[in-house]
Amino acid sequence: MAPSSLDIAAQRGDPRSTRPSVGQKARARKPWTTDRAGRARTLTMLQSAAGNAAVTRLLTKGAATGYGALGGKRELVEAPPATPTVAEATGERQGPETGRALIDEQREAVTVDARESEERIGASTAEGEDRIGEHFGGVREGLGTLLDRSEAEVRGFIDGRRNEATAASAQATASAQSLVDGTVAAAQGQGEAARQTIGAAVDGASTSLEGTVQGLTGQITGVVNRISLPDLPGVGRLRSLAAGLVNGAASTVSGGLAQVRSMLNSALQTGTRMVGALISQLGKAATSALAKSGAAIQRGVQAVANGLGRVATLVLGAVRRVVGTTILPAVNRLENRLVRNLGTARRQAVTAVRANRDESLRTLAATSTSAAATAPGAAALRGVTEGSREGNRGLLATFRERTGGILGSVFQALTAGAAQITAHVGGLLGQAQNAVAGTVGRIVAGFGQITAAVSEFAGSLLRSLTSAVGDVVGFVQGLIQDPARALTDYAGSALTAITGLPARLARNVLSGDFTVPSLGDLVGHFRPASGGPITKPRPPGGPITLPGLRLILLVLATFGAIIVYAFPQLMAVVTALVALGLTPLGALIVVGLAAILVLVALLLLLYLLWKLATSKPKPPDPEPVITHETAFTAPDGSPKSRGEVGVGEKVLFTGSASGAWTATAGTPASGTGDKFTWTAPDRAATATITLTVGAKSKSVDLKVVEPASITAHRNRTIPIGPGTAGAGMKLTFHYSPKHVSFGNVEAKEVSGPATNITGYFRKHFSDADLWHDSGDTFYPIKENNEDSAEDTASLTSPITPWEAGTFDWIIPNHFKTKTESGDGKKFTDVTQAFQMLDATGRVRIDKAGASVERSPSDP
Amino acid sequence: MTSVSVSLRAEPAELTMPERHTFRLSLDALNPGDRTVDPRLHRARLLVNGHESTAWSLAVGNGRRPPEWTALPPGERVTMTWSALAAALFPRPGTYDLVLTLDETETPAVRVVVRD
Repeated sequence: MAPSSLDIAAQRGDPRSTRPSVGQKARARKPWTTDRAGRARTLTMLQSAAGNAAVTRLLTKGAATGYGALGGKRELVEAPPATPTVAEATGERQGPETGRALIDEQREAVTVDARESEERIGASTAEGEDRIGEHFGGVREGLGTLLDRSEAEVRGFIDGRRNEATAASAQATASAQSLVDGTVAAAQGQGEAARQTIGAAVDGASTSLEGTVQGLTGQITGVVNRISLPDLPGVGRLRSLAAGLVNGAASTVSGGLAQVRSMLNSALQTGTRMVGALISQLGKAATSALAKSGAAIQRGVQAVANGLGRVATLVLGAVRRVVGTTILPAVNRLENRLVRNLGTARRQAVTAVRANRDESLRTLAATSTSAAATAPGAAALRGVTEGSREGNRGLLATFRERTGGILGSVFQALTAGAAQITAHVGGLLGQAQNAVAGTVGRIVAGFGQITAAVSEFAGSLLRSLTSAVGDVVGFVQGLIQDPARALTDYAGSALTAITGLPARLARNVLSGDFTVPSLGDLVGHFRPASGGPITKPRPPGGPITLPGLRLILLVLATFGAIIVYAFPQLMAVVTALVALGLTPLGALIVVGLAAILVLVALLLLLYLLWKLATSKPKPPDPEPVITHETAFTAPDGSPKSRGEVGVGEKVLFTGSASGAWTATAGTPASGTGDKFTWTAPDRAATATITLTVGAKSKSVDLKVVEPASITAHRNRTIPIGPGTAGAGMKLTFHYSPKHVSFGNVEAKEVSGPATNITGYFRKHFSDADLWHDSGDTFYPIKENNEDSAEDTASLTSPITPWEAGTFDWIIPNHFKTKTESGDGKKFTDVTQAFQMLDATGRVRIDKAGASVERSPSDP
Repeated sequence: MTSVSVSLRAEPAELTMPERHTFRLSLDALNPGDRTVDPRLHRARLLVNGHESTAWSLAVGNGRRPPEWTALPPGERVTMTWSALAAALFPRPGTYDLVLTLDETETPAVRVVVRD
């Protein structure tokens, strides 16, 4: 099974340990050297045998033909100085037929070897194509696995956060419900206790009063029996009248008791009703709080669900887009290019084999049969064939080495790239998860705040109820005490008057006065104390003495009653006023008075409307005028009234008159008044701000500009220390354009891989070692478009020996406004280029127009 | 001579190879003194099982930093977190001891276990 990209990453190991050393590479190139040496030897023999000086040029050319595409670099191998030929040395000769046969045999051998070499090159090419297919298939499968795993990870994470929010909401709802239940139960308990207190007070007052009044009544009645008058004419009638008077007084006191009993019952009912109303109001308030808190919690849960769904869609969509539109096409292009290059290399190798063959055949053809018939000539001919074979072997070995090496390097780079993609995607997912977890955490914490608010509200309700119930109890106790004390006082004074009646009658009779005082003259009239449900008229001499005023109050109370009857909701106001200490009648008077005031206000309003409707039309509105001023000063000195602003810039608009403001982009979208403070949108746009005064409008167009480029200013260099290769500098970024301010913008560098890795850095470092991890943190830009954060660009390397090499970071830069969330928008790439210039270890770093260069001998 | 107190934080301490993208490495510096100092944190070196990490040196020696990175007030601390170093620090499963050095200061080893 082909390894996935993740498996590839896992199997990659440390590339430094698998990368061939310089010595290994030198040994791997040995076939070229062997090939050249063998050809040189053969060349020497042929030169001797056939005297063909052109062979040297032809063979060296054939050996190197077409390998530029595979990275080969041909070196011309010169033949050693000429030496005496074999034929000359031995002088041996054979017949022409034998020579011809030998030449034909060698031609056949050269042709067959060339054909077999082509077949081997073809087989090696097919093997390379299989390896390409296998590795790239593995990468594609790995990308698929990465997508699946990313989706599973995101879905799992989202489900977990959703469950967390749901559980937290259920807990918060249950807590709020429990709080409200407990509050209502406590309120009912308080109400019951208040009712018992009021009932006990009424019962106690009633019982006590009854005993007292009955005792006094009995004493008053007993006075009749104790009346002793002289036996004179008319005295019998007088006694009878006096007895009637005493009995009348007793009846009056008894009647007062009944009256007071009625008042006490009324007080009890009023108190009970008031307590009931208070508890009912509390229950409604608590239920309303519970409903509101439940709705808020549900909104929070819904927001979490919606937000998580959007996050999942966005994150997975982004990952799929990156993989589907960037990575996968790049992988496919690389695979196609690799296959094409492999085919090119095969064709070039085959061309080289054929050239080698043709050259050898031409050499054989140029050899005379007579020369071939000699022993040295025959040996030279065989040498040509052997040379051709060696050349083909060398070509095949070189082809395999170069294609294998290149494929190995590509596969290694592919493995490293897959690991980086996995890490990058993982980083993106991690960032998204952190952001989501933070948001969900805040919402869940909000649930706790809602519960706490419900708790606080419930507590305040209970405290208010306790206070109100206490007031009710006190109010009822006051109602009870006043009439009871009045009746007791009245009965006591009646008893005193009645007790003195016999002596008064005796004195009158003795003085010839046989009249009997009236009951009113004797004991007066019982009038209970005012207040509460007792509705008998107040006794004369009270604070209300004007009959006209009384009539007015009565009218007001009646009107108030009508209003309350028409609008039952106002009963709550009446109850509240009673709870504050007013009598129900007083509360109705207040309601009636308020209703009259409202009526008067309405009539006044109608009058004003009528006056407005019948008034003369106003002169036409003047054309409004708008001026505006940015909060920030542009770095290039452009005026604050400029027509272009940076994203997120604040602008104060001032109108010539108060009116309605609207903005087609930015915030707020509307406003009123003669001034309008507006913030530019987060992205480039053209915003139209309009002031409408009456029927006239005036508009201003503002172009909103995003940051577009970065230049760096070098603040200072960084000392590295003698003997170490490296360089460093501190930079400040300047963001352009400068005719607007980016004072409400933040920017960051985004992490990414190194590119253009060559020489020293390719040899000693892996791609992962050279990966750019920027920290991915947004920093604010100042009003003058300078970065608030200082940048560092540095490199130190303790590894020797030094040699030339490079690597680059192409750094994407993102911006966002300070009030914006998320990853912002890419606006430019900044290249940070690292170079080791030569074997002295001199290092140069370039970034955004700034540079630093340093030798190891420098500080 | 370093006059700040530095510490290293690695999270999580145990992970698998596929989970390396979750790894976060944080450098925390505290100025316990009574005057503002430049901690020169760009010179901090990370030893992974005794070998200096090039990836760390590039990460700590490059990029934008808050003002506190070069001027740390008394009693204040500055923290920086990197999230893409795991592939370079942990190329294969194993146990890794991470030690941060800055001048003569050396933090206690933070152990990270990476499983297959």
